[in-house]
Amino acid sequence: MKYKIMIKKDNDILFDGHPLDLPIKQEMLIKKSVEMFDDQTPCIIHQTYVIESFIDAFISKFKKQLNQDIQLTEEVEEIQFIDIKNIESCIIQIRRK
Amino acid sequence: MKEFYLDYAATTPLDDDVRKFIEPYLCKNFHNPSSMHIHAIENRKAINQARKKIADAIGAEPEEIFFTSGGTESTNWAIKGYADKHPKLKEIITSKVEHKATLNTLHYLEKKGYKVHYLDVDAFGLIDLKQLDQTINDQTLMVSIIYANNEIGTIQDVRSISKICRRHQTKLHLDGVQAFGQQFIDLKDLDIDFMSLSSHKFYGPKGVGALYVKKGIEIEPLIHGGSHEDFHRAGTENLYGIVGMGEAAKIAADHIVSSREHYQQIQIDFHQKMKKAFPDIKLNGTPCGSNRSFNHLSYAFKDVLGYQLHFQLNKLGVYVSTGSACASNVIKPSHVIEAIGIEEAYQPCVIRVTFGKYSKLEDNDEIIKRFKKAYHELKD
Repeated sequence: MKYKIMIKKDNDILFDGHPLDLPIKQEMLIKKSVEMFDDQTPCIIHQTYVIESFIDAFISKFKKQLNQDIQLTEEVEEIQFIDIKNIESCIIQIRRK
Repeated sequence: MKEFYLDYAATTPLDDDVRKFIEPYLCKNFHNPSSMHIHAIENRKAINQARKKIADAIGAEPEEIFFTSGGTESTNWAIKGYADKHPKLKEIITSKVEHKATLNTLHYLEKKGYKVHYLDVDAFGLIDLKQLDQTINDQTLMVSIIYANNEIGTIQDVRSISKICRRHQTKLHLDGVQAFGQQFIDLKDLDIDFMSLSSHKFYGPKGVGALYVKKGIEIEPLIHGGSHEDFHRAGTENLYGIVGMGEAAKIAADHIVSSREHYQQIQIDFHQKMKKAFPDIKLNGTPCGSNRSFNHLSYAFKDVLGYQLHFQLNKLGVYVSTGSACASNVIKPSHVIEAIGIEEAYQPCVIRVTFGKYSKLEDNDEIIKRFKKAYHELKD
């Protein structure tokens, strides 16, 4: 994927890398898997499809703010899958590789 | 957004004429074909007519056709059933590019003490005939080979394989699941012993298949019970599946010439345009027009991941398959892609495009446009 993501909080970089490497909340992955496949124990291919869906929605949400620090001010559904504590109060930056 | 289904090798939609043909058997013609009242007898007749249609389509005799639940059961049965009848022969020969139905049946038999030889393939996925000739010995139970490869579209030289098997007096099972409806199959001419077929690959219903067993060959049933299928495959028959498969086989055989022309026209045009749009891509399997399924293209792309490209194409309404497999919680290139030895840089992204009777030549430009869009979404 041609995007990279950086997640910061108080000048600490919590994540900097490929979207597919974002830490994913297991319970969100299962919830989405149940929604999509009605499957509590998805195989790796189905898990990957779920993760792709999360990332696709996430990128689509913030695509117009490329290379900008995005300070979230409200709870955004598209970031809830990311397994970083208090993600709502972090700064997110999406940039092209 | 217009959608493009390009996954006909995975399955085909039910032909409308087949659907109409099946409908009475879903409701009013419900009677058990094993019963002996008038409506049941009509259903028995319908099964026998379906058997005859399939036999006619492949140049076999009706008594050589046995209905199963699909290609996987047929393959399991051919191999395990023949092995059970001939317990002294403990070696089986296959190739490295078989369908999992064959490979996992053989892995099961390996655990039971069988020795399985996996023939190498060349870069096109064609098996090494010399190696086959040298590997057959007096312990060989059978040879099992995929006729048309489901992942890369390669058509094996089944005539030469058959000749080698005959010379050694070794039984030959062909996995004909992807070949039927595309290849001219005349078993009066092509000398084989078993062939697996699957209805849903040629516009018939899912959950039904057939195994051809050459007359005179003894095979142990896989499923025991009543006297169905001449004591070979127990269980009340999947009536609507069987009559649907018979009709689908007849339609496929009747239209094979025009189908081939239709597929090939689309395939060649699509491939030329893909090469132009993506000069770096590689075609997996044999070249178009040379021992390749007419409806099949398998591409390897560089610098992107197969499941990502697949996801992007899916978003754009282009439905294809990847050449990946899940193994122990990782996605890796399939055993077929590994066996043909494509360059490592290309292995993570294999996309299979397969056409069918509802594909249209005039759609190729739009599909390729979407391929470009999907690819560039992933790579600058």
